Order: sequence, then C-alpha cells, then structure tokens
Amino acid sequence: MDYELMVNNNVKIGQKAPNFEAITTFGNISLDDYKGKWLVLFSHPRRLYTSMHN
Amino acid sequence: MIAFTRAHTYFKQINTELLGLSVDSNSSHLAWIYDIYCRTGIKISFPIIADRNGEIARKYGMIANEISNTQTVRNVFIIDDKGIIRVILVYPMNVGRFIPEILRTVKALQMADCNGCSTAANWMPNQPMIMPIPNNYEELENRVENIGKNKNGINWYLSFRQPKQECIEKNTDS
Repeated sequence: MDYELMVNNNVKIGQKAPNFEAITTFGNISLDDYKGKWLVLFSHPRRLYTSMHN
Repeated sequence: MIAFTRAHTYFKQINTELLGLSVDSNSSHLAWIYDIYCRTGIKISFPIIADRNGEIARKYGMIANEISNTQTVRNVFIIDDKGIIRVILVYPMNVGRFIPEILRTVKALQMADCNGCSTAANWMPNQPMIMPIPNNYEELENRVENIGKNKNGINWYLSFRQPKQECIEKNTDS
C-alpha cells in the first residue's frame, strides 16, 4: 500500500493518511501520536532558496 | 511558519495540531527556528519534520515533479481525528498560504460532521448550513412546508438551518 503511494504520488481525500515516523524539532514523532486530534500537516520549500514567508 | 505559530492557539481550541515538514535537515530547522526567535522573539510552537530523503514527501505527493524533483511545494493536508485525509491544498513555491482559510476549512469539516450538513460558498463559522437533500416524498413535503413558514431556503433541494448548539460549543475558538 505505502509502496504504491510512493510510486503514484496519489494520496486522495477520503483515504487513510499514510503513517510515518519522523525526526522533528520536537523529537521523534509518528502520525499515530495524533490519534484523536485533527492535524494540519504542511510542507514548506527548502529554506535556503526561499524567503521565510509562509 | 511564523504565520502558523500566530494562529496555533486558534487551531488548538478546535482540537487541531500543526505539523510542518521540509526536506532540510533537523539541524538546519533548529538553526532556522532559533534565527526566527532571535530576530522576532517568536518561538515556532509546533514540530517541523526533517524529511531528509523525501520519503514522507513522496508518500504524500508533496513533490511536484513538474516543478522540482527534490523540493516540496506548499501542501496542506487536513487529517481528521480518525487519521483520514479530508482536504488537500496545493500552492506553488512562490505563493504563501492564507492561514485563516485553513482554519475555516477545519471548522467547516468539523461542523459538517457534527451537524450532518454541508457548507455553502463563503460559509463562515456559525452561519446556517445546507441541509441534506430529502430521501423520501414525505421529507420533501415537510421541507417545502418548513421553507414556506421559516423562509430558510430556496426549494426542497436547497434549505438551510442553524448549526446545533452542541456543535457550536465544540467548535468555538472564542
């Protein structure tokens, strides 16, 4: 399932969010840590080449 | 990042957390947020993922190959309390996000779920919501009668009602 997503880049609304474990500025975090809460996950372009605006 | 931090408290009030991501290293993120702190006094209040090899970005389709095959574009994924992706927003690298719209969208989803209704264009929190279309003729007749009495719609297929009080209380950020 995850492999298919990686190949197709095709996450869609209504689908289960792919799980992940990640290194963050607050320590290690996985998607499961947010069970029971809503989550806004957002990506940002690389800092060095862009401004600091959102 | 600063804009999200400024709005973080409003997200928290509706049981919503923030999580950033870029393909930079964790130490680069740490340097960045410290730099923001030194220059503005603002502490970035949510974690930022260092997705060094782009594994998560690729899983979620955050990398638009037509634009760059190593950089993420500006994506927003709204994931509900059951882990379902409910909204995906995509912005190019040169346009920043409008945070109030992201907050409004989370509220609209929560209110739609809680009320079993949907929201019209330009809906703002606590405004009337669109009722689901009637499933049978009796419901249709009731709906028409109701609209005649309360002027709360156009016709049986488009009528509005106030959101339930319990939903407003759950969804309030004021």
